[in-house]
Amino acid sequence: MKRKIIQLYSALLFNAHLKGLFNGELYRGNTKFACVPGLNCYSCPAAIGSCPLGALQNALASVNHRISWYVLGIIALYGVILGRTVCGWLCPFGLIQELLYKIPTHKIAKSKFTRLISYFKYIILFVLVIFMPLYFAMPSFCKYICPAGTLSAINLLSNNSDMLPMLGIFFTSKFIIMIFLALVCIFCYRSFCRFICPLGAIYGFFNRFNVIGVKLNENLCNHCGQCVIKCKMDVRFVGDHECINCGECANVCNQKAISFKKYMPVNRVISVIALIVLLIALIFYNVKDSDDKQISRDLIIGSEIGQKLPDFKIKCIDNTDFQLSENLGKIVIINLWATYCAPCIKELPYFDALYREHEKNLEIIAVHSSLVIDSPEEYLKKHDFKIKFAVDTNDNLIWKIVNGSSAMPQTIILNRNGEVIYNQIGSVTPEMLKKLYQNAI
Amino acid sequence: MKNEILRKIIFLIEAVLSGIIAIWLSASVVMIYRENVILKIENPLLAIYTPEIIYEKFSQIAPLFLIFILIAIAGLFFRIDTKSKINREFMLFPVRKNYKFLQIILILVSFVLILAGIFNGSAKDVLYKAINICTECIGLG
Repeated sequence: MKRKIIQLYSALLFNAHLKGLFNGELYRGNTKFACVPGLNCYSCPAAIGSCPLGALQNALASVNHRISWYVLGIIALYGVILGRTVCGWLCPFGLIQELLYKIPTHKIAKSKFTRLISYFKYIILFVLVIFMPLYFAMPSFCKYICPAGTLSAINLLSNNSDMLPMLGIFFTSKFIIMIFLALVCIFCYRSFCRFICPLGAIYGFFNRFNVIGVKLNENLCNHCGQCVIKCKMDVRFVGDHECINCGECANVCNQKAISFKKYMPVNRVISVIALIVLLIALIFYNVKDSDDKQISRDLIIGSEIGQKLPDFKIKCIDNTDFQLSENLGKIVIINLWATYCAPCIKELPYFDALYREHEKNLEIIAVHSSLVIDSPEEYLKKHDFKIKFAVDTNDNLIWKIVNGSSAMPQTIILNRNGEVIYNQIGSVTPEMLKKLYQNAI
Repeated sequence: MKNEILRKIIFLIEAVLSGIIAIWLSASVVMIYRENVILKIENPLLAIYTPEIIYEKFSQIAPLFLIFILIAIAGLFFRIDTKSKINREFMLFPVRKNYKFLQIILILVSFVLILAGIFNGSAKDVLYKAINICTECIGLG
């Protein structure tokens, strides 16, 4: 019971931006630089921190492959202090799996077979979290598998129906994976944790020497094996790499040989302090932290289909100026991108090809987010693009004018009269661009 | 005895229902995708998923889901058994070592890495990528 309360508490604390669940706005405050210990997708509108696994993959997939000492340090710190105690006590996705397992039906017990497939998560770790992000510059686990991301995406979509048109094969397959995993979790205890979760695999490396976790007093142990038999995880001994340090084995040990390495008494004072911290977080993220850190999508007018964008002028990277009103009579495409967004980079050549084909009738400007990680100038030096490039100002001027989202890429197309005919988040294909161009003429 | 039979029946119904719901949900999204992806090839501006299509497909599953919830509530009154198939020879009883020195070293290394990350800008990278998300990277499109 105590563990369930702590699991609920941490799920609420890591997702304290509750108003995001109702208005679909991502939290854009500074606390998102901190990684939370468990699997908690930062695309969830309620998330106030980053997912360590997502941050690690994004760092490996970065254009300049800057070594993310920060993410490695955070994961190592959580690993040494908590190890897989994170899985047992703090991971919101672990809680969801345990609740699914509570559904009363026949259960699949652990066996040598489940023990064998528990090594599958190490393959996922090396292939999808390390190799593919490095080689294909894409956070592959997040993109193809992560059910926590799918759950967050469903919440994001339920409040942002304008994002629905971007859904395609990836979402379809991820949705089926999520449903299948949920089904397996009903019958098999914490199936995702045991067989798939790469974060659990990483923390497992630290489990033998974590500071907080369960320990076995060998002087008291009579090797009856009840701890391993009763444990629902695929452990071979107390505290091995599969042990989530839930402490349930301590209850079945007749010899009282199992205890926590560091015992933190949950007394009234600590409970009150924890409650106050949670209340402060809820007030801060839902009431006090004003919307000025969010790109409000309600204040902007004139970016809907059929409307005209307000005029704007922006300094391009090649030192020329781009003014919207000067391009009246031409078709204008505004693309919102960033160097750290792989699909954004993938679609830039499509815009460039279209521009080269219809140079006289078309103007394209790709506006980089005001948040610059890898220098766009450095990136553009390596590529021969003819379209214009600019970096949005710190006030997110262009983002505000075109009703830019927290999600990228986004493409806005104006016809010759300057009216918006397309304003969508998500990648475009060359075929789509041709069709849109024809529609704009 | 009567209770045991009832428990087995309820658990069996629950298992079958959960399987049907999962297959039905998966089949629904596959059908939506297959029906509309053909239209999207002809007109790339069409959306595969629209609120109307989603509502139409998923509302069909709602009654079954309700039954599933009701049976699950009924099933909560019975105990759930899981008997592990682990042999004693499968267990290990390793000798525990004192890892205090290793823990201190690793904690210090972690702090050094975090500080190095703050100074080399990788902490800022995490923040920026978390607040301006890439849609394809989270499997949206």
